[in-house]
Amino acid sequence: MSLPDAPAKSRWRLPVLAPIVVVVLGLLVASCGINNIPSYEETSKAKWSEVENQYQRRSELIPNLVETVKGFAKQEREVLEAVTEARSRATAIQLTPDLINNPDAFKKFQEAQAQLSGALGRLLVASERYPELKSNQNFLALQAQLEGTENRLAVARRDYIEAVRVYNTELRTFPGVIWAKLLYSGNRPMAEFTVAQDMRRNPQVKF
Amino acid sequence: MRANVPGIRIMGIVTNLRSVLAAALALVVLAAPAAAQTFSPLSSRVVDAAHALSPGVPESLGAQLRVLESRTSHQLVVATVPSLGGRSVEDYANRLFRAWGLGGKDRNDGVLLLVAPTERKLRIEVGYGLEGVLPDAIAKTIIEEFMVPQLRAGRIDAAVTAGVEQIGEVISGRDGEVRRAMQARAAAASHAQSSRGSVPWGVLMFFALIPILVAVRVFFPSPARRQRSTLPRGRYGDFDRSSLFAPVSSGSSGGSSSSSDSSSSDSSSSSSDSFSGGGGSSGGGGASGSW
Repeated sequence: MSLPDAPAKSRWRLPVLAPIVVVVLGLLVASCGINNIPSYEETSKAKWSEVENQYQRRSELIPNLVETVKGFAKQEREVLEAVTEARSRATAIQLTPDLINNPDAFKKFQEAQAQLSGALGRLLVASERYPELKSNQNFLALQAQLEGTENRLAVARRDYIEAVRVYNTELRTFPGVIWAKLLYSGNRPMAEFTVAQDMRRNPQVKF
Repeated sequence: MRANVPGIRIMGIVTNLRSVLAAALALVVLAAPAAAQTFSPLSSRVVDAAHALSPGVPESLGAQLRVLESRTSHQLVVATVPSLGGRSVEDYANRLFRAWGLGGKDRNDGVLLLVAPTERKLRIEVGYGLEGVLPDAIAKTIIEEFMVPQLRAGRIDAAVTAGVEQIGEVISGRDGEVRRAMQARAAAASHAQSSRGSVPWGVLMFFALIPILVAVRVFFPSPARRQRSTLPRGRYGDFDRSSLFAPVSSGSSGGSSSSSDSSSSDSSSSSSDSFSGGGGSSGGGGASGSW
């Protein structure tokens, strides 16, 4: 019984299995992606540029805000100066494309921005004390824009973190790690935000 | 002895396979938190998950919103939620907006009006494509001037209706009333701190009527109006400005609900009973408030 069975098995096994193996291997290469690392990298970079964009927008709004507040609340010189100074320190950092691959520069950047967030928050709290300022239309519009920018910043940062997570995971896990070793040995994991949570809070102003 | 060697080999392969599977599983688990939050499905244009609106209100609002969409192609959706699940209203609104994919995929021209009665928070979340038409300051004014006073008085129906109406006005290109409210808000606040919230409605209505009347008479928007309405900027190219003014100049009598009759001709007919988002996204534009 067992004698005629064994050769029959091995006879059909090979021709059937070979194409299956080829197909599976093909799928592995195509879907588990030789292209994943570069495309995830590009996505992360695009998300980062949106983050930069919003920081840029914020720093453009600040001089206008400072001027408006100054008109009503000259006494708050200290707070105003702190904002101006924090802004110039934050904008002094060169935004080079490799910032996100350089943990030290990245850390400096986000610390400077966090400081600016803090100073801005204090300015908005201080402006609470000036009813005329609070009812100034220019100030109201600026404040709404600033809140909006902070919120967009939070969203952009969240998107960036997610994109980087995908990219970094691809670099470190199978099968991406194979491609990383073979083809993209120059690719480094990207930096993530660590100052995160208290930066995320919008400057809240109650009326 | 001999039989042992392949046995060990097979064992080795099995453990290898196991680690590969574990890695794959880890990937899945890592990817999961992004999709973990569950939202109620987008069943219609008014998703009253918190049951905060009176019976009949969602239906009539939904009809209004359908007309708005067929006229402007912009998707405005109202949602009430029983809980924000510990998130900020901004965060929640953005995630919900993206989960539903409001607005066209390339135009990103959706707006979400989110009300969370439990947390007493609300937000107008604006898609990328409408950030120029409905800027943050305008959204803020709609919230603070038209909705919050009603909400403080416990009238959620009225607040949501007013919000929908004002957003509809703005994204139809008719924002005179909101802009005036913005100025009035500043003026009222500086003149009388105590009587905040009492907006001179009659005067506002009167002023809001003027540009409409002018438009009807002259058949094109006056220069002043053109200057006031913000130009759509940035991300969306295929925006047809002329269509915004069409309903105004066609002679209907103002308010967003009454101009519905003239709109059926240019509707795209695709938006009938079944409703879904168009795949649009939002980057956190809009404004929020609390009461």
